[in-house]
Amino acid sequence: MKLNLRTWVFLMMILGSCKDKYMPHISQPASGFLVVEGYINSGDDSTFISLSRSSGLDSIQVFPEPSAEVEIQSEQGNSFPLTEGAAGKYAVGQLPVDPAQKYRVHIRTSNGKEYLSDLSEVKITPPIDSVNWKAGPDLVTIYVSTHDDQKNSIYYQWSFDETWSYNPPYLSNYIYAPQDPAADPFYLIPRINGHDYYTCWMSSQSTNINLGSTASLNADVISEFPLQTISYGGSNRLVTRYSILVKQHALSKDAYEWKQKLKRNTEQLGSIFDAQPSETGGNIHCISDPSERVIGYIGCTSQTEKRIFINRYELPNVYVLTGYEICSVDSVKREDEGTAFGDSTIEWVIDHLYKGFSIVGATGASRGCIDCRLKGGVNVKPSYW
Amino acid sequence: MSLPKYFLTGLFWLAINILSLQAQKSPQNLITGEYKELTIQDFTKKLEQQTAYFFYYDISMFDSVRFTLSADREPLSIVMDRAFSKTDFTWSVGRHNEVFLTRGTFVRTNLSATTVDSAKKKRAVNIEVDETMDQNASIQNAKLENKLYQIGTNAANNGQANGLVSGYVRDAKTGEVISGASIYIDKPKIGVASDQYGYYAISLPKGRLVLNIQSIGMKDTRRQIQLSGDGKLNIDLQSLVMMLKNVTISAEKISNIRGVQMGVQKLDIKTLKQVPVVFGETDLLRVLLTLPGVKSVGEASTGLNVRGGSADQNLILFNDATIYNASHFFGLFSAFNPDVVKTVELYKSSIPARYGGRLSSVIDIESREGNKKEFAGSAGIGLVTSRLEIEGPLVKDKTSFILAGRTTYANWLLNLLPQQYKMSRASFYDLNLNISHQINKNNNLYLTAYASKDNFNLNSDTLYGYGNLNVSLKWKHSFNDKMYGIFTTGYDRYNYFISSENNPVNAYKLTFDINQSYFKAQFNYFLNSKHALEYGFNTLYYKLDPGTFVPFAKTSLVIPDTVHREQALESALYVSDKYSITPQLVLEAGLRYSLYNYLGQQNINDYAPGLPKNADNLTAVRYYSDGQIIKTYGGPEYRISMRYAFSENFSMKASYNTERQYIHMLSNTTAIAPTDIWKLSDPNILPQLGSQFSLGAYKNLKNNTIETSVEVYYKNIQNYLDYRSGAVLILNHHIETDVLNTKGKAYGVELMIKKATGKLNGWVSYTFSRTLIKTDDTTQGELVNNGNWYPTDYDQPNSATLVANYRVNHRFSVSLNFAYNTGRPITLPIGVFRYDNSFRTLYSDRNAYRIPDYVRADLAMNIDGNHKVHQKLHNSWTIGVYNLLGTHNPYSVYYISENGAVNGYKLSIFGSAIPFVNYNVKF
Repeated sequence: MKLNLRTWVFLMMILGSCKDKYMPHISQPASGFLVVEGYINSGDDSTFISLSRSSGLDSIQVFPEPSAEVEIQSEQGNSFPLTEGAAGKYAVGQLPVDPAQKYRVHIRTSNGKEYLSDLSEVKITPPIDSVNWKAGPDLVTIYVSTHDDQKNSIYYQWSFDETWSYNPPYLSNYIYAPQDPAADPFYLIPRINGHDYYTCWMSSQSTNINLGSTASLNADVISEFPLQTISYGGSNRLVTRYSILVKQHALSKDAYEWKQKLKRNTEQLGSIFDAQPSETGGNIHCISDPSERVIGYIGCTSQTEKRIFINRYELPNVYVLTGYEICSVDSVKREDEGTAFGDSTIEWVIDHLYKGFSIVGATGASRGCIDCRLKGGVNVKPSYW
Repeated sequence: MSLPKYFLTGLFWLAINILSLQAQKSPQNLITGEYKELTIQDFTKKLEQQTAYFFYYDISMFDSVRFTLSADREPLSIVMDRAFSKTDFTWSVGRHNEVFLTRGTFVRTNLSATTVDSAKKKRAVNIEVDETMDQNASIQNAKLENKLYQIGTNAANNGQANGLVSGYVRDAKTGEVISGASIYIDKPKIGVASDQYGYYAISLPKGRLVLNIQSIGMKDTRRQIQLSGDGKLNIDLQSLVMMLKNVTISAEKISNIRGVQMGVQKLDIKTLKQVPVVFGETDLLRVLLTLPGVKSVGEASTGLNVRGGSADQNLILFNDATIYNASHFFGLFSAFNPDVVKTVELYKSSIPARYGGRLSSVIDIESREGNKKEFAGSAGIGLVTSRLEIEGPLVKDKTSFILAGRTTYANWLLNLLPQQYKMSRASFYDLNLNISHQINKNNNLYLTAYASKDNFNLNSDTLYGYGNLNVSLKWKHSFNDKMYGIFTTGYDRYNYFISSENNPVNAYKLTFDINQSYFKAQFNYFLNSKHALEYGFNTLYYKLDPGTFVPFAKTSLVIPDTVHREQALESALYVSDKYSITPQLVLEAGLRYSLYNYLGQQNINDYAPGLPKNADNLTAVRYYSDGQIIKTYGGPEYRISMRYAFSENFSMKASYNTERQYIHMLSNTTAIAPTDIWKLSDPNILPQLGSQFSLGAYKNLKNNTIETSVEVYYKNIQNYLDYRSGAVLILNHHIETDVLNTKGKAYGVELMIKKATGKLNGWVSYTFSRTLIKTDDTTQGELVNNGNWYPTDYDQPNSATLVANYRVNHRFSVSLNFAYNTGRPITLPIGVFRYDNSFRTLYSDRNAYRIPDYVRADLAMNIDGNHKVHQKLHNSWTIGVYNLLGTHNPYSVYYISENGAVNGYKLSIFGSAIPFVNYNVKF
């Protein structure tokens, strides 16, 4: 490389700056830190606790923690063991929770280490009063409202499961089957299960931590907490029918603050304008090694749920993204069908092609515009639909 | 002046006159007359007319003496005694009625010389008619060491034992004032230093005195005065020709022993210029970083951390103007052009009562006034920057100006780089204009203006820019010899922007600015020899635009967002007294009362008391109209320091200070952008409170050529803001929900050995210090690190610096700089876990880790052209190497997700040795 003097000087200056790989020694066990998720169910459902390990920065994945002994302990010394289902998933049926007592979780991992959570007061989650929605010019906002006359709940967390149905633009009524003796002169046979590909359901779970508090209010009333927004142009959730199941948990103040921190730490980082993460702990401690970090917060609460539906026809007359915007129908004359539908995995037939009243060929489109499953949904109707 | 010439002329005339005298008759030797304010010439003339005596004297000894007396047929001896009774002039009569007027003991010791000197007879010799005397009779411009200056009149004997001498100390060549010059007498030991206007006032016992005047970089001098009452004496100093041999310096030259204030470092431009810095451009902030107790978080960081304080706790004043961003070019250069800087003073423990509003330190930068006698200038050419400076008189000896500018031309060099670096752009400029005008002897006006601008992008389409604009007007008025006042008004502005225009959909521009207007009145009153008072008031009006986010293209879909403008008024009243209890024990006590009003128009969020400030606990939003007082904070601040001098070269000092700070900088130190937010205290953001106790011992060795000092300090800080996890700073409409009040403590010990003169000079310093904060208020919700003490971002326990300069000869010197710092704390991501349906990053405890230690050595050589005084151009070269060892000192550590893994990198601004060359010329 030929460089003149001034270039050299400046290269020294600018290229002098350098980026080195930096992997400081971090005191983390190779197996990761224990992560404990779940809650002690004070309601009439089962209690689920899942155990996993944090991963290093070099491989982002979940390592379940199997073969642990997990039990729920009451303040007065009653204990209720959980049994492991899938790896790292532990469960026990409805517990006889006494609201006057406090409860904790005790864990002995397969390597013999013992973990104990702080005793948690029992919270009974009040029912959700309503889940409602409002349509704006660009988006729909879904709100949740609840209240607790006893003023015991105060801190709330909501999560939700969304499900929505959608249709591709075209229904396939025929199959191109030139070899089939039953085929008509245009090589088509009727498709019996066309509707199997026409309606699919997609679902998604909330990934954000949604928290609310009434601590500053005179009454323990949550009125229309905005839980989810769906923009018409952002997804196909509202294209035909949409459903949301909102799950509500009352939290202790402690749990609420921990979740708040978790939320801030991990949901708002990413751009250079963001700042200052901090450690994520929780209310679980390693008894065998008090210096070991454990991640997670186990409280004692129950879950209440409410499901609503939003139909397309209830929405204002706005354009909603279908995800099929690029689809179009191809018209194929009889003599060209062989070439067009020859590779039947690519192109599906929609119907006969008419010219006036006479059939001259077939119409078709790419399979992605006909088979709804290719968008990622399933064609099994949910039980609540 | 050439003495032999006068000597010969004098001798010649003496001979003539002695000859002529012998021809005269015997005199009628009685004197009658009323004499008022007569000069020696007029006085002796009158006497000669009435008598046969003939007077011989050195006219220069008497030209400031006035004679007022009356006589009624009295003999010469009575009249002479009356005339000279309160002076130490002596008189004697020779055989031929010659009257020799001489001065006290001085004469006797070298009688022959004086006799010859006295031979300069009045009619023959007319040396040194003082031009200042002619202009205004009461101010003496004392230029001569061997002349006796009469101060006050004999008549003005008001029965007081002391007289007040005051005046200005100036550079004889340029007419610029000299601050920090020591003016003292030996017996008894009384001394003062000239203030930033070169003004001094000293109360001294009446009688014959020798005033010693010393200032760094100037020739030591003395003035002989006959003090009869209050009066003025202006002193011109000659600049020092560079000295190669060790010189003995008296204690007064080095103020560390005798000064009352602790933790004060004053550096003049000559010292600043010796320290090698990157690209060879003298940089006062980088030199400050070599002082004990002053640190910075990174190579190209703009902020100074003084004694465990955060970067926003320093008040950086440039001729009274507050500079909010004192850096250029990614922080590689400081905002101050070395051609206009005169001195920089750093106050890190005793902060004078006249300053306020920041907790940690005051950095007071004074610029030069400009040459009052002739036009001059200087220029410097470096690899990245060039500068030009012109100065001169607008009205000779009355009005001067100095105009200076600097700019970069890095872009053309950037274009020579390989393709992937071509997108980077960086440029800056700064401009200084100072005009100083002497209206008359009691009134001076100073106009200073400063403007700077920076633009850069780092190989992306995002452009960053920021600028300072400062204008101030100052009027200094002397009410009388004992009292003067300074009235200053000005306007400061700091603004920055970030813009991106390449992507038509999200092109945006984000702007931020601080505007402040201020008025300050300060009065200095020299009550008597024991008390010097300083009092006054300040008021400062803030107007902040905390963020405006707008689309930056017609096609942009960015939604405009503006955080509402903030307004506030910060005022203070202060008084301080420097009380010299004994010559050994001096106490300086100050009280400052600051008052802060947060003003509308504003919407204020109310949060439920006792609960964390977050959106869930919002109880009301209150609206305040324009100018309405929303919240008032205030309180007293104490500034006490004291010095006890055990001997000429050993003293101890103690100080206690409290401060209040109403403006806070919220900064994301991990970013490489000047996106710091300044936030005024409001009902939800409390003012920061700080107190510091410090103790120091100062010992000078080897005839004061070596200064040593040890200082220890302990600081308490309240309401310093740290951030909640994941705080958002930019465009945050409710920033109180993202910050946490912390308690802080900082302590440390600072050791310094300094050799100010000689062939080898420089200093070595070592600091051990810690600065820790904690959040233990559970009502804030989130406790960082479980409410335990944790280190701040700038906690660097061990730090050592060496600055050495070796003058090989008059024209060649070599400087070496060495710096070591413990790496600063950092919060690291240490893993990933899944919770609530998302992968989440696991972080270490806040600031649980440290980036690698910082080590750097620099070398510079200064080569001066010849030192011929009458040469038109004086040129010099600075050649050196920054980061001689090529250490990869991390500037920032960051993590990015690459191929499903999170990888850490450390970025070093200077990964190798950087050579530099600079050419400077003075004309």
